[in-house]
Parts: sequence; C-alpha cells; structure tokens
Amino acid sequence: MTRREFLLFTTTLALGLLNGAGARVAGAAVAAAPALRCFNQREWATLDALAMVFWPAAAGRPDGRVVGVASACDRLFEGAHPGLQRELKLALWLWEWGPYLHGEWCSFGQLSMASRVRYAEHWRTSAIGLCRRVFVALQRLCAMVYHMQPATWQSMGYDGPWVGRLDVGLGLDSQGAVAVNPNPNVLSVWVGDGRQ
Amino acid sequence: MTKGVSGPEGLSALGADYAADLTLTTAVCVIGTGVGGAVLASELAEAGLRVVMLEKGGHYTRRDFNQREADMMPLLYADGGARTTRDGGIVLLHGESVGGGTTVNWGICFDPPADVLKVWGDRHGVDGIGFDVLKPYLGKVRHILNVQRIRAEEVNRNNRLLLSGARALGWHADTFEHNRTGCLQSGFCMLGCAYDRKQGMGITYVPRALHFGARLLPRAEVTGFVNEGNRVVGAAGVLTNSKNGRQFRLRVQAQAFVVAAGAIGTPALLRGAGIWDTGNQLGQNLCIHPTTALLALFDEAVRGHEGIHYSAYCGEFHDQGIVLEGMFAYPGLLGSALFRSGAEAQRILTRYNDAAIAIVLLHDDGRGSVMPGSDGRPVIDYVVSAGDQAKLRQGMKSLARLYFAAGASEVLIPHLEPVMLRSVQELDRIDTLSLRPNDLALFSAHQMGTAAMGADVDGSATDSDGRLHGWQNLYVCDGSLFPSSIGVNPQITIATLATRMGDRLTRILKGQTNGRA
Repeated sequence: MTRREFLLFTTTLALGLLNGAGARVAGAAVAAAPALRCFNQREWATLDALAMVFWPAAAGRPDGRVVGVASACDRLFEGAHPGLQRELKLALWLWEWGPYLHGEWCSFGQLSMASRVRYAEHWRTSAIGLCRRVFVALQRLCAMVYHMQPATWQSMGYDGPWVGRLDVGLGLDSQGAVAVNPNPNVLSVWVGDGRQ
Repeated sequence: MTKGVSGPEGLSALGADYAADLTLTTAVCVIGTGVGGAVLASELAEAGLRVVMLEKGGHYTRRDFNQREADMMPLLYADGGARTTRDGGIVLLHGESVGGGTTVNWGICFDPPADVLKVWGDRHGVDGIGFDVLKPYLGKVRHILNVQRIRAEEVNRNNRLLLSGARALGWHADTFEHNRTGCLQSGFCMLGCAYDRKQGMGITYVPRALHFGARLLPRAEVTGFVNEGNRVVGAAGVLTNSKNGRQFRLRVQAQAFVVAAGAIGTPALLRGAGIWDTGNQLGQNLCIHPTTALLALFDEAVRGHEGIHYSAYCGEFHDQGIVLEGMFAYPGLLGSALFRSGAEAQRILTRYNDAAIAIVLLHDDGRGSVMPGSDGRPVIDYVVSAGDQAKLRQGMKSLARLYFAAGASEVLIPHLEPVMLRSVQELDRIDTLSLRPNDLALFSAHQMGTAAMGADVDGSATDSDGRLHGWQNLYVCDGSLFPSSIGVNPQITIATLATRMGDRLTRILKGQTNGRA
C-alpha cells in the first residue's frame, strides 16, 4: 500500500467512524436481505446496489437485483477462506463509505442512482491504484456472478449445461453407466522404449 | 507396447469420511495430487514403494460435475477462482481438488520444448534434462494419458476462425494435441469432465497409483513438518470429514516427503512451515505465462461455447515468446474477463453467440514471488516486465490483425478504458494503452518456477533430483521445479519430470533400504 493509498484508507475509516451513528439510522432504509451466510446486511446491500449500477434494467435482459447478484455472491463465498472473505468485506466497506471522499455527506447506499454511477466512474478512472483495484475487484465479481445465473443466459443465447438437458436423452448422463473412461491405457504396464 | 493388468478400481470408497485422528507410516508422503504429485505417486507405487497421497481439496468425480460455474468454481479452484496477485492485477487460476489443475484444465498437450530443456541444462546446470534423456519418460506419459492430435472435425468454429485468419496471413497455425479419449465435445472441461473423457489425474494417474497400492487422503491439509536437523521425519495436518465438517489430527511419518502443491501452494506451504532452502530461493522466480484474451465479433454465428473450446493455435510468434491460442469461456468467466469494458461489455455479451475469443500467452521473462501470508493464504507478487509489456502489445496487435483477416467486424481489448477496434488501421491504438496493474485484464493458468532446479545453491531452490537444497529427504515435484517459464501449456512437461523423478527417487529410496521400502 502506497502512502497515498494509506491516507485514503485512513481518511475513509475516520469519516466512516465519525458518521457511523447516522449511517446506522440510514441503514434502516436498506433493502431487507435474505438469510446471509458470508456477508452482513450492510455488505449485502452494498453489493445489491452495486449490481444495479453495473447491470441496470435494460430491454431484453434482467437487472442485477432481479437476478439476485448479492445473494449469489453471498452463497459463492460462504465457504471461502476467511482471509478472502475479509478482503471482500474490506473492499465493500471502502466502497460504501468512499463517497465522503468525493464530497458526498452520505454513504454509497444513500446516493441516488445517477450519483452512484458517477461515483463508480470516479473509482474506475482514479489515479490511485487502490481505488482502481477495488473497482476492478467488485465489478469483476458482480459481472461473474451476474452471468453465472441461469436467468441471464437466455438474453445471451447461452444454452446452459448439458447435464440434465442433453446428456440424458443421449444416454450420456453422468449418473449413468455409459460415462466410463474409454482410455484403455490407464492401468496398462508400459514396456515401451526399453523401459519396463 | 502395453500389457493389460486388472480392471479399473472404483473410486467411490475414497471419500473423506474421517472419524478419528490418524497416524500413518509410509515410505513416501506425496502432498498434492495434481499432475506432479499424481504421476510421481503412481511411479513410486508401481515401483513397489509404499505411498500416501495427501490432498488439501476434496475428491470429486463425474457425478459431482454439473457444468455450472456457480457450483463448480468454489469446489474445484483455489479461492473459488478469485485468487489474484497482491495488487489485484492478475487473476491466478489453479485447481484445488484431487487431480489439481488437470481436473479443470483444457487438456492441451505440448511436449517439453527441447530448446527450453537445453537452457535448463546449459545455463542452470540441471543434469539429465535433455530432450533425448526425457524421451522414454515422455513416451510413458503420452501413452497413459492417450495423447493425440485433435481431429479436424473436432475443431469448433471459434478455433476454425483462428486457423483461417492465420492462414490468410500466411502464419503458422495448427491444432493442439490433447489428452481426451472419445471426447463428446460438451465443452465443459474447465468445470470438470462429467463424462470422464478428459484424461485428468483423477481418472488416470490417481487410480493408477491406487491400483499399485498407494493410499489417497482427500481433504487432508498439511500444516507443518517435524524435522531432525536437515531431515524431515513427519508431517502434521488436519483431516476434514467431507460430510459433517469435523476435523481430526493427521500425522504422517515417512522416509521421504514430496511437496507437489503447485507453484503457489508449494512455497507457501513450506515457507509457512518454516522451511526454506540453502540460498533462500524458495518462493522466488515465479513465472506465470501472463495471458490476456481478445474477443472478436463476427456477422454470423460462432457459438464458441459448443465443442472443444481450446483446439487450435497460431505459433507464428513462438520464437518471440508469444503464442495465440483459441479458447472460449462460460458466461461468468467471460463476463468477469470483460469487466473493464463496462457498457461495451453489456452490448457485446448480448452477442455471445457471435463472438470468437483467443488468448495471447507470453513466455514471460518477468518474475514474481510467493510467500505465506499472515492469514494462511499465499501472498503473490508479480510484475509484468517492460519486455513482456512489449510482447503483450505485439501479441494483441497480431491477434487483432488475425481476426480482421478472418472477417471480424470488431475486436475488443479488455481494458479499463473500453477499446473497440474496427479495422487494422486502428491497431496502433494498442501502442498507447496504459498497462498499469488492473488496466488490462490479465490472468494466468500456468504458474511455475518457485522451487527452481539448478546446480547453484544460491541461485536455485532444488537440485536436479527435485530435492530442496540443504535437506536430505524433502522434495518438490510440480511446476515449481521449472527454472524458467516454458512458453507452452505445461502439464506434459510436469508429468514427464515427475516420471523422471519417480525413477530417481525409487533408486535413492531402494538404495537406502536394500530394495525394501
């Protein structure tokens, strides 16, 4: 972490703590999360709002909230290493409280949609490496999880897995006896090239 | 020539249903069941040595592979596919289950490059590493994995476009060899083959090792070693019951210990356990084959997700350290790879079926390191050197040129600032792209070099046998051993080195015990 990034981090931390009380009050307005396994309700709400920034409603495809990006992220990282979970939570925390650094006296969750989009653009184009890193990590996560969900596949023209769709009809289902390794060499004794 | 032995053994009895602490005594303890560990374990067991294989990840078979990214990524990849370098700039994909990377790789086979082997011998002082010396070992590997050329009818349209673009420009291009047998072309290799056609370690060398008497413990994580002077006498770890999550203590005593946890896992485990080599080189020299992907849009359907994703390459720039390889990705991986392009990505992803994708893979001269982190996860640093940045630009320009020659209407560079090229006249835009960390989407599926073999104890971590400098009976057997990157997909080279190491280690161990081990 560079000195500049350290200052950014500590300033955000201080502003976040200073305004923690107000945020807790504001937290009541956050959309209710389902039972969570990895993230807390605030983190889930940040993810949910982020998914709407990256995947807003558009003709022909579902938005990030309809697809359930935040909950899918929560499930995806349920069993992840605690260190990875901590990193993600820290990134979400920085993102949530970062608006104070941009002159907004509120958290990300309290911004209007237009302000959220502008805010994301600040992070994407920032000269500070840590900001770009957080942006990239969160957008990559949201994009991956969004497209992993079957609800998005039709709009892309992706057919989805064979399992349970094509293979059963072809007699190739992975539960069936047909799926046996056809390689005849696996257990053979090699005596080629003078070796035995 | 082969001689058949008894039929395949079922794998169903290999679950991690531990109910008590476990202490084992064996001749060789192999930690990791990727291509290095599985091949070595099989070779040693076949030679009559007692072998225990420990695998940190779970043991999954075709019955578990449902071809859904959301389910498979957390099961089969380290950190669920979310592992990156410390600066977040490079995604590092590597497998973490029985079979390691071979459970999730694309099944591409390149023989060990003779020119690279020569450098390892001449410059790094590795003995017995010439191509001719390795040939018998390579032959056995190719036989067991049933390596063969991908047939023309197995090349999907995505890869045919790569071939046609290269040929239109007069560039060298060919199909890969692969280790699939009777491939059904479902295209889900990266999520585990649900039909047992890709010849990963989980259905080849691991059952082979078991057939010859080895023992496999999945969900067995080694956390430390017990040593007496420069000799390791035991490994300690944790067993996790895969059904109820209960954990038990594991102790293994052995004549020799082999760490085969991959170029990231091996140095992280050893250094985390307080073990390093004479010259303190363990964890240094990380090579990763930095890779980026370009996406090209065509006016007719490509449907790159159908068939074998990865079947052709352009080797025109191999001498310059650049290989262009056809590939494709499922929606989640593709979406995350294109993340930098924002709204442009959203538009393009609605044309998933019109998209062709290929990668630019570098034979890197950059270097990185792997060290254990305070929370138990490896800390990975890697800097893309100026030379490799130049190669990246050249590779992207070449691939974009190839795609336009094949008839592409647009080519996307996955950069933080959206770059959509519409003709060859725009290729120079690539020269001005910033390449700071996180600017360009970079990933690595090949990690190597962190326990490099060599004669110089101050410039390498292991000797020509793969033994850690300064230790009597502690070995490494995976891509960590490479003194440099190799410029092509490494699984066959690792398997060949592991077969060679099996020969050498058998002689060493049987010599110690007059043939009894």
